[in-house]
Parts: sequence; structure tokens; C-alpha cells
Amino acid sequence: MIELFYIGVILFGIGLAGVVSNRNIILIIFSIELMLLSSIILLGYGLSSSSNPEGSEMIIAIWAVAALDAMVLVAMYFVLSSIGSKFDVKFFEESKG
Amino acid sequence: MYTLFELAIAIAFGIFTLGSAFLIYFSKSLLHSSILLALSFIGGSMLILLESQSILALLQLLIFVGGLSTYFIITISDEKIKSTKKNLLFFSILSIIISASLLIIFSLAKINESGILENGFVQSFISLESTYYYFLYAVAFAPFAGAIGSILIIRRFMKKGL
Repeated sequence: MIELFYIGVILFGIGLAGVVSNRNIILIIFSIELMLLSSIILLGYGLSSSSNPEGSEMIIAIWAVAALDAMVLVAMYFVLSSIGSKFDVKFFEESKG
Repeated sequence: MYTLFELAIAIAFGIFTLGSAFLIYFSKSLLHSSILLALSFIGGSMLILLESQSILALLQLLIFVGGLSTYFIITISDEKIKSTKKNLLFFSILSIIISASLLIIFSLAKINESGILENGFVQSFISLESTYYYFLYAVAFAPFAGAIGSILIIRRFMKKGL
């Protein structure tokens, strides 16, 4: 279905806009998850529309990156909440070398 | 060609997915954002199901919604809302929707049980396993490295501070 292709593309756009426009770390990670979801929808669309299954193993990589996101968020949450800092990306200015 | 019914379902799930993804940025609390993210994941997996990839939809729903439990824990601990009844209502509705979508996917996968190997996702792994053997190993190493890195960040912070 060609509509699903457009839905995946629009979802990727929403995620990209969220990454660029937000300053909250949790919302940025949510936006990255949306982008990963859209890429899985697009890969599923590619799998169903063509007879060549090449590239479908990227879905496993996307799932691994999604798991990685959650791990990194937990570590960042632990560190930032114990400092008492808000989840603002401006915090990372202080951690410059 | 697709029937009008299939087209209507695809458009409805597309609006559901895009709407819940869009509303993530406009909700007042992060907990509601995480619930909306879960709803958009459910809509996305139903869209994958419409592409007749039932196993991929099932795995997608289980892995992403399972991973979302981490986000729920973080956003609940960040939440300062006193009334928990509202959150309870949200979570109960969410759990009903997740279980209903799982039931739908399971029932549709059962119909195709005889031709389950004809599913593109499973078929691709049978044919490409030898070609992408090392790539799959590298992918398995990525979350392992991420987990070790996260533990090291927390340990370093606990010892010295930032």
C-alpha cells in the first residue's frame, strides 16, 4: 500500500522535527524512537512490496538501537536526577572537555 | 488491488499513529507523552500488519512496548502529580489496547499458519543468514557495549561525580 509509505515518511519527519526543536532529553529520545518506528514501517513496506528480501536484517539493527536508547536514557536519568538537574540538553555544555 | 475496507483501516490507523505521535510534544506531562508514544507504536505495528507482515508486527509490538516500560518507570518517577486515579485509568486503557492488538495479530497469524514460512520477514532470514552472519553478530554486540557503557557512566559518576 502506497499510503503506508507516506505515513512512514511523515512519521520520520515528526520525529526529526522533535529532535531538532526540543530541549528535554526524554522528549528527544522519544523522537528518536519515533524515527526508528518509521524506519521499521518503511522496511516492512519494502519487504511486502518487493520480492527481494535484501535489507530486512536491518530491522534487527533497529531493534538493537531502540534497546540502546532505553539503556542510555536510564544512565542519563540516574546521573541527572541525582544531581538535581532538569533534563535540559543545556546541561551538556558543562561536560565539554 | 486493495479493497475499500482495507484502505479505510489503513487510513484510520495512519491517522491514529500520526496523531498520537504529533500529540507527544503537546501533552503537559512526560507520562502522557510516553503513553502517546506507546499508542503510536501500537498503530505502527498494526500498519505493519496491514502490510501482511504478521510476525514482524508481533515482534515489533512486543519489543517496543516492552522497551517502553523503561520509559514508563522513568516518567512516573519524574512525575509530581498527586492524583493517581487518572494515571491508573490511562494505564488500564493502554493495557486493554495492547492486549486487543496482540489478540488481533495472533488471530491473523493463526490463519496464515500453514504458510508461515512464506512470510517475507522469516523467509529473508532463512535465505540471508549466511550472507549477513557477521553483521548480525555485530548487531548483537551493540546493545552489549551500550549496557557496559551505561554501567561505566553510573559507576564513574558515583565515584567522582561529573
